[in-house]
Amino acid sequence: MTFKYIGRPVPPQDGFYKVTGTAQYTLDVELPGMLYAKLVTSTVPHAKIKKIDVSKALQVPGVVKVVVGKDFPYRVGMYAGDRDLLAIDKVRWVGHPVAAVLAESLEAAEKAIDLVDVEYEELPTVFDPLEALSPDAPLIHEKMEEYRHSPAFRPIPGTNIANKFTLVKGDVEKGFREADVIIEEKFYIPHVSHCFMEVHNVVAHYHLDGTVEIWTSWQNVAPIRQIMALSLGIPHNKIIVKIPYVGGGFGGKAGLGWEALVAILSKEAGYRPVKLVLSRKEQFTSAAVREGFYGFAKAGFKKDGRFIAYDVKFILDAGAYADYTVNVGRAVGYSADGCYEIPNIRVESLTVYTNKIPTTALRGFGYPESHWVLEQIMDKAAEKLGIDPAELRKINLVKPGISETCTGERLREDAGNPQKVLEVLLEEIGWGKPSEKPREPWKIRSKGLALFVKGPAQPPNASASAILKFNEDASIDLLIATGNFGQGTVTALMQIVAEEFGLPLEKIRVDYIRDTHKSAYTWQTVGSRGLFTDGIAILNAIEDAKKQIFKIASEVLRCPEDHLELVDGEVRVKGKPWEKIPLQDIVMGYTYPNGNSIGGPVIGRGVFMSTHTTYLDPETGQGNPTIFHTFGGTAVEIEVNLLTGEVEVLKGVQVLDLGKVINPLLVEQQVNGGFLMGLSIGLYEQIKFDERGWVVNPNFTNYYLIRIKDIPKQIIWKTVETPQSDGPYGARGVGELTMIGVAPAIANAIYRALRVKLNELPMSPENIWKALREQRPEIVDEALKKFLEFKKMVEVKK
Amino acid sequence: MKFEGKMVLNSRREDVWNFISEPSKVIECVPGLEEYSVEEGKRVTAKVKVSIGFIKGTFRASSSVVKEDHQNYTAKLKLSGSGVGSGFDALVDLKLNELEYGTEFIWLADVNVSGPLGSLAKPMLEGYVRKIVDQLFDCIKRKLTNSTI
Amino acid sequence: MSFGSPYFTLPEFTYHKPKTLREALELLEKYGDEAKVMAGGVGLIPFMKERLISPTHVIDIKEIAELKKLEYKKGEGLTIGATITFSELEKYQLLKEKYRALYQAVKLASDNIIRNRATLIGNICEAIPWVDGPIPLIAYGAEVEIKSLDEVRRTPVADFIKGPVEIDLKPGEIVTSIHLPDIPEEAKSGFLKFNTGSEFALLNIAAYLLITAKKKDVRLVYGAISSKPARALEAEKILLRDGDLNALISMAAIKASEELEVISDVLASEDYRRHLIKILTMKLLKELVEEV
Ligand SMILES: Cc1cc2nc3c(=O)[nH]c(=O)nc-3n(C[C@H](O)[C@H](O)[C@H](O)COP(=O)(O)OP(=O)(O)OC[C@H]3O[C@@H](n4cnc5c(N)ncnc54)[C@H](O)[C@@H]3O)c2cc1C
Repeated sequence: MTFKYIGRPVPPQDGFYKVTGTAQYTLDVELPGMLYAKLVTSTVPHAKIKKIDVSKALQVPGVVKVVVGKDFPYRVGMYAGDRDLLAIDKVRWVGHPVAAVLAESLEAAEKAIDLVDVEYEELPTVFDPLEALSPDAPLIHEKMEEYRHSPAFRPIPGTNIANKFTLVKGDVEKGFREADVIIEEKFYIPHVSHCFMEVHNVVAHYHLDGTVEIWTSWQNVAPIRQIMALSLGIPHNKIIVKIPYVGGGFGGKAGLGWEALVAILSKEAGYRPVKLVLSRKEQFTSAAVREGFYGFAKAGFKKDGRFIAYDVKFILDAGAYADYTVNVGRAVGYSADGCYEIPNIRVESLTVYTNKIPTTALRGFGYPESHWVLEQIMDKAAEKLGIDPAELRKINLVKPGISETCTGERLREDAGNPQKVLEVLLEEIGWGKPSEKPREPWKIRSKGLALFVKGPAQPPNASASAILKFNEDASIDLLIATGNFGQGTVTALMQIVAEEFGLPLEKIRVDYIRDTHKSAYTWQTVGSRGLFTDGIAILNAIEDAKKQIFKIASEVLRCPEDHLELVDGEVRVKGKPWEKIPLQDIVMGYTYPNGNSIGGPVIGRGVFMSTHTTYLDPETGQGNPTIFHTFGGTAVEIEVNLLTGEVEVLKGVQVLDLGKVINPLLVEQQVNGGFLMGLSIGLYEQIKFDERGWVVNPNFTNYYLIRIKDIPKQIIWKTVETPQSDGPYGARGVGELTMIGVAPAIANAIYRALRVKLNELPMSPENIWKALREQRPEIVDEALKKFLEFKKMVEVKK
Repeated sequence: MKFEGKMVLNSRREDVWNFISEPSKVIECVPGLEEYSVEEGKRVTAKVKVSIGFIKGTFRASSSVVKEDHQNYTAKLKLSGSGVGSGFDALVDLKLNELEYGTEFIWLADVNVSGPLGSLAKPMLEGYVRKIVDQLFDCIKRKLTNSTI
Repeated sequence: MSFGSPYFTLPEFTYHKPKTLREALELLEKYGDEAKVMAGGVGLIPFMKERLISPTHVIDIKEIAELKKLEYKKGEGLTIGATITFSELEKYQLLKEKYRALYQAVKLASDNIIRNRATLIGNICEAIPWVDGPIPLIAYGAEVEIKSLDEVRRTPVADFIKGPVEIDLKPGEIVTSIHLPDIPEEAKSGFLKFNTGSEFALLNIAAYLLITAKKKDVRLVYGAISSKPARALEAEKILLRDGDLNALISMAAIKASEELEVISDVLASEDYRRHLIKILTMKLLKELVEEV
């Protein structure tokens, strides 16, 4: 089948607005009479609020009001339901918002926050999640049992455990008894920030009639409305959430953000609109970031390489609020087995409160964590078993149609082709072919790889919908809800519509604003699900519209509906292309020469509903958690400077089984972006805390984010296309997948060449140097000797 | 960061003890003091102007007595505060030793600083703390001599 | 330099833009401690935005013609005026040929956008431990010229920088220029910066090397290691000895890594810094020695 649009590298349709600077962001929203909000944040990690004195702040000219948490003691949240809008009674981390100043100007608001006096009575703190688990650790949430949490989670009141996820399949003890080789390792990943270009910002207007209008830089409109309705008691149809262009999300704009707070502030300010914009520092310290993570893994293998037992414990350092992270804790748990079939497996994943920044989703959603553990276990096992790491993976890969995942889900036959993914990966990186020798003899080169699999971590009933409206000239307004924050999904969805109606792409329009009132519904734009779920909804809407079109055309052309086809914007009688009628004569209804008319404006509607996903059993973790699995792999060739610990990626390869590539240009952008994000988190990024719980580097000076000079010279991608019959054109999601394998592939490359373990992120020069010095000091000495003997410094510098 | 110091005062130990047991007297000796209030339990809150190099700003700080032992002439104070985007806390141990001609005042402080001042000024903090302590003691000395004569 | 803060706006201040040095000095005299000089503003504005300093008078010196000076005189040396930017220095051919360590430092400092605005003198006056400018200047033995309404004085850059955010400058004073002494043809100099995974240097180093039959003069200067730039005096002495240069280099590098005061901070630990001192010293000296 040849396509006109599907599979073509159509440039992202929002690019024009972005490069010309005309794209409208929430930051651009300014309303008449608008006030500016500014937060007063906690300077201590855990304390009772004894007194908040706002009198001096109120004297600043232009200050309208100062509000504190006690004024509106709501609890909000998506999953754990544990959040406050402003601290009520106590603060739980340094950066916890305790009060908000509302002023006529930003200047006044910023002056006033310095004048709000908060008196604290400090409480004992706990920063380490392992310590937070001890029975005598200070309790961070005393009233956990009162939180309205989703049924998918198990908080344990009276402890600091926000969610306990367990999974059991087979008999892991028996597995270990039968194992020939056992590997035990401990892993760590620090907190990282999403670092999107556009910080969190919200404008809200609580109208006198009770309608709340919200503009926000967020990924999704629906959960904001849902959570606000449930926790603030405002009827759904009175909450209107609008999202214009968004400067990046990466998971840090999912669930609920600051919207409820700003809406309340607007009401408190006498129904005037209010704008809140976080500074970068506030984004680092007062908003949610990605959790810190510990992984303790024990793995058993048979001599022939079969992976037969896996026992893992994950501890997530969720910080003061774990609202979204409880679901990360669940996802990291049920993705523990990656793309391998492991008959005996036991997983415990604890999401734990500490007195640090709250945490939330970040691209990959637990899968980078589970794969950081598993994919390194594979290489360590390979070494012990004397089997090539690629071969060991081949032996254990799941077989779609036959294998079960650790949740007991039998993989559908067309779930993907992981074997092929691995083959292509090996070929592209030149597995088995030695690398060229670097010019400086104190550097080494090496190759490493990692495989991965991921599907959306969503509630079983997470649905989507689409509405397709024809205009007079047969152009189409496509009403969808999936977010548009840089991924390009919308362009791919437009390609589907153009393809199906044989219309030029210019005739399809998707508004840039998502609006609870005007857009269709989708649960969320997360988990790499948009193209799949909203794509299916659109295909169903197209189907629905086509039915209406054929019905009208069949009367006009006097021909049964199933003898008609839609080609190039015309309805034709099959086999007699000269008997035809252009779409624009039908889509508003057909009018006969005498004025009689039939049909009417054509509006297609379609939905996506997952019918086979389930909740997971609370004890065993068994069930069907997801709607598709995308398999993939990352391979790298790196160069390590043994003297300084610097790593350079010379080549990166990503292979993904995408089922069907709707737009290769968009995939490439995802692959490149994901690779770099994975590299940045792998090598550099880390939120550092001091002993008082303060973030030491809440800025891009000391929180290093990958720069243009760090970009590898070569990143390539390939796709294996095993269509999934229920996906749009067979497609699966891609967005998050592209960063999961990068860090473990690099760690594996280092381990293969040097037998130096890097179980902690980031693999910064200093951390690599430390690991080298501790584990293989002789390598460093040897390198230094070569360096001293080297006589061509000037030459290699060139 | 731990700092310590010693100072000999020309007054009787009992006088020194009485002086330092009176929060309002000590606080008035803090260099850069802008305003203060004394609450129950000898808790003091104050606003203090600081300048470290060319960084200048106001700190809001409070101190409270953790332990007070008149018999052994020892005390422990907890200080904490925030300002110029930074925060600090300190535990200070004080001890008075009786000398032939006066009193030896020994102090030991464990200070933690967070924020820009913590990242930037750690190496210079020791000098800064010394400067403040010197000024503080000079003032205490002056006041003690004035009151005992 | 940005530490992070909640603020978007600047504290209130009066902006002055004098046309002559005299005018600027009068303003400084008048407002004393309340005034701050602004050159590029790259350092000053973020500090103000983050409320680390809140001068009520900002005196922009960019339009003072006398300060736009960049002049080399044989036998006397190079004078760099207070409004000369990194970009202007980068394009100045003589710097590349003669004062290579400074040239390399200038080139490696930040990016084009910053370099177009930032001045070398502002870089020194900011006195932030991680910056690049002071390191080569100290290696060349450069001095700053300081003026007030009633005094002109000169002080070595090494003494001028007293510690983080602390310089030898009194209210009413302004730095008008930096003066680098002329250096012999045979002298070699170079600069290295290690900033993998960091915006600023974890360590930067400048070396000045004059090793001829008649005269030996060596200076090794290190930055980003503690509160202010420091010379490795013992290591320098080793390089003055006679003997196999390669062996001396390695001894000197080890000595430097031991003798200097080094701290741990958010960018690197003391251990790693000491290790880098060793490696970078060897690398830089080997490169310089190999150069013809
Ligand atoms: C993103 C970023 C990256 C950077 N990267 C680097 C880097 O890689 N390497 C590096 O070395 N630096 C770096 N810097 C620092 C930058 O180089 C300095 O901030 C800059 O050189 C300051 O020069 P300026 O002319 O802008 O000084 P200003 O900001 O105008 O002034 C800085 C300070 O010096 C004082 N001052 C300026 N001129 C005079 C004078 N003539 N007399 C008396 N006082 C004076 C001012 O009062 C102020 O206190 C970076 C800065 C930023 C923001």
